[in-house]
Amino acid sequence: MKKNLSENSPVFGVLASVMSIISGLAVGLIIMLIFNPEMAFTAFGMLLKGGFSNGLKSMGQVFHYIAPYAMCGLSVAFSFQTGVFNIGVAGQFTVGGMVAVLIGGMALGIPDPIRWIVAILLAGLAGVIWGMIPGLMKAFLNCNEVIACIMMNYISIYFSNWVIQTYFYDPTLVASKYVKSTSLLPRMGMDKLFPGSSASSAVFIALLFCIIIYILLYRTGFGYELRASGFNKDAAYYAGINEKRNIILVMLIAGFIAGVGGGMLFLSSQTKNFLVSEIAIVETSYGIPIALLALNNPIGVFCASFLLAWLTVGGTMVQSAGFPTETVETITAVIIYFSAFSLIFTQIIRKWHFKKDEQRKEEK
Amino acid sequence: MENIIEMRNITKVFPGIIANDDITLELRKGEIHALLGENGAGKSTLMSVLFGLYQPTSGKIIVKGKEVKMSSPNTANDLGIGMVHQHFKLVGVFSALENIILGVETVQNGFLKMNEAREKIIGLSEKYGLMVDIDEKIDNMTVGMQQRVEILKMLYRDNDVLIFDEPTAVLTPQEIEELIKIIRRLAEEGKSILFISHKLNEIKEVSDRCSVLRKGKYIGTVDTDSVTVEELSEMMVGRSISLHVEKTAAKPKDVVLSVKNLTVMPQTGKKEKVKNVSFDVRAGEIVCIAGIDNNGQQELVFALTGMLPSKGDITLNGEVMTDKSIRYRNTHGISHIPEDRHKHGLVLDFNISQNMILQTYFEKDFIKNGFLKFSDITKFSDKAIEDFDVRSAKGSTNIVRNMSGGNQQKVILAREIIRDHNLLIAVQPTRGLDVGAIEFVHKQLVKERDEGKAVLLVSLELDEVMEVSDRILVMHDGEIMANVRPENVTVQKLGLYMSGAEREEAV
Ligand SMILES: Nc1ncnc2c1ncn2[C@@H]1O[C@H](COP(=O)(O)OP(=O)(O)OP(=O)(O)O)[C@@H](O)[C@H]1O
Ligand SMILES: [Mg+2]
Repeated sequence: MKKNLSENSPVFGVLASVMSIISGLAVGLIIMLIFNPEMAFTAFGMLLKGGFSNGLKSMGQVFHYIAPYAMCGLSVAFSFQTGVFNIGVAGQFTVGGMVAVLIGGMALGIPDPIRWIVAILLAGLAGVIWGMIPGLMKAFLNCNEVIACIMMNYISIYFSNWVIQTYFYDPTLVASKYVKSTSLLPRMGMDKLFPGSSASSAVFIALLFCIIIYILLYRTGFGYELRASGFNKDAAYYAGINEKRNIILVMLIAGFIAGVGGGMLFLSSQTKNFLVSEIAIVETSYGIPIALLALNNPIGVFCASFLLAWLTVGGTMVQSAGFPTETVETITAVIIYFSAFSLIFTQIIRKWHFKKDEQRKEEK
Repeated sequence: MENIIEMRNITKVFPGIIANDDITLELRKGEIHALLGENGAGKSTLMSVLFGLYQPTSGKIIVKGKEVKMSSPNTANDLGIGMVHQHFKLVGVFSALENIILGVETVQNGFLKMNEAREKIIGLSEKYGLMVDIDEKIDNMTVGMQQRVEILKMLYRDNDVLIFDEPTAVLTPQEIEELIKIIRRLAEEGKSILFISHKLNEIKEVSDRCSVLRKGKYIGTVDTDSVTVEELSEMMVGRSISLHVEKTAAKPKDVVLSVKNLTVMPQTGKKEKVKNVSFDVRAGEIVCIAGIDNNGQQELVFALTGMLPSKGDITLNGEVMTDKSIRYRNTHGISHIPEDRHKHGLVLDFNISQNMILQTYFEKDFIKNGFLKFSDITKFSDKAIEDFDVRSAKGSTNIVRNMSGGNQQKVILAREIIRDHNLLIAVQPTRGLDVGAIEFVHKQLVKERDEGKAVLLVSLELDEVMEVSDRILVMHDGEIMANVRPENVTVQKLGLYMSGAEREEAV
């Protein structure tokens, strides 16, 4: 006999996320069939193959992509759980990346073995500053954090471009120069395991962040306080919880996570340089969808990042089947849209579950 | 008389609890049928089953002689069944008119046919005496008026079976009288009414028959005229309950709370809600703030607890509190049972144990090096649940959202009474509780007093005011009209003070 699930069992949440993904993929397949019916199934297979496509290198690439995705998703999920809407991940990630490129490229007299650590910590600090500004504005001027964050995102792009162009620019690349190989993150054997890939310790650091944030939220008094505010602001106020202080702290922590994420991305391989462009760094656009797909659970964030990293790697292969890269972006976009509907899916599944229950009873 | 609704052998199982256990209920056409039972007895669940919100685990529903499957509220609506929930389901930014027609709009050439709807609604409101300003936004309405909108919504849909889940719990005594008239009128017009209430007098007054549930089981149905209030309460809890509060004369000691020239502005608006008020509350006495709703009681309490800024002096145990934070007051002697349990009192998505530590999670009993001590918290919460008889399916780990209204209230009571304090501010603490629980709360308040705590009770119910208090402060339009002892005043006299028609000389 099937176990009787309670109305708000977490199982429904997980099932809903899985449903979003399957629906997204199904719609993706339909799009491919419209573009090019002959190659559609081949290409779809390539997409699903993801980390298995090209031997160990692809698997390594999956691990490489997890880190920035997870850091962006975690920054968003953490803030969402506490009732603050950190839409500013893109900006925090960008300034973090810019700072890491400067330090990693120019060394600034910092000795080799600790340079990557210093670079990443300062990247995190840049994220903190970028996150705190909307936090302070919200706490003291009651400025909507979403709008402030969006403005900070734009400022981050132009500000970082200016800094890179002024101090560390290669005009032929229209990007920053390359960082020193001595500045890169330790590979921790990932280069041996997955030769040719950019995989590094970044994925472990990201996992560590997810675990720490999980513990912070669910095990500590501070996390209790933050989640109480997230669920019911008025009750938190009644209980004497200092909302202003918490908004600032949440934006500080969220900014740090995103900033470190940006720093790690640019120090994970020597071929990654900082493009001077007016478009936000693509990895950051996955922050919100990953948080939604993970239902804001830090461990869920890591799993959702794995999945999207898998599809990203699969997606690069699809081009060889004659599909433009845009198809992959479309498919991920569809999955993202469906993940936004995950709440609706939760309801459908719940209804369906209880209906089945009844039918079984009627049969008896 | 024929039965319009028959619920036969209804059982509804939630994980860990049988909320309804083989219940059979018959509703006759044109009757007012009361449903009575302790907190958590399964009344709301049974009504939600009838309204199609929950699917019964077993049992059947027969409407007008035909067995039906109530798969959703829409089905219920099609069969003429309407429900007013305890927490209204209206859209705040819409007008009454828009709310009433929502979901059943008639459209012509793509435009809403508002005029016909308007006429029908005005007709209905005149017929049943439901006074509503139909172009006013819900957010600007009193709770009583919102409830009338909910009733009009059912009537507009031509519902002839009307379910009211604790309609009077949120109303002022004046509004309750109004509602009772309306309900009678509806029954006279042939509507059949199911009515949940914990107030036995009300049930005696309005209902024709009364069905009693106890711990999910059906106890029986009686003609209301043939039983006394005492018999009803005995059916409900299995023992007789006295609403008379046993207490000795108060022995007031030192002043705990002293308020001098307190003036409070409301959250929104420019008019002072509390005007230059002064009073004391001593250890060992229960002082009750009586008054008609919205005469400054809420603002006064918010000022005392630090939730609203104020001018003047608030002194607690000799220490000036006027500019202190909510946290500081919480940890320096004030406990507060808030008026709105869903808005302020509880985090509905937290479980019981998490709600039990809402103001104390940072104290050394519950935290070590920043980490919550879960086993200690659970132990603490288990004991509170036991001491206050909080009923839920899963004990401390039960999510508060999935509890009956009365048991949610008991969680707050337990937390605020157990917490270290010497002033207890209790706002409508018995709202939504069954008679047994009310008796329990009143006893607790007296016990608090006898232990030397100062108790400030805010209540709209005169019976409660007269029974429990040692001293009564009557508030009207932000001012204190009288400072009297219950033994020296009549209910009529209180009414005059409350309406502002009279003022005691000395104040
Ligand atoms: N959605 C739910 N999930 C799990 N248990 C529930 C749910 N709703 C109610 N219960 C449980 O079912 C029992 C009956 O609850 P119900 O709300 O019907 O009580 P009630 O008679 O309306 O009480 P009250 O007078 O306090 O409102 C309670 O023990 C409650 O904890
Ligand atoms: Mg109820």
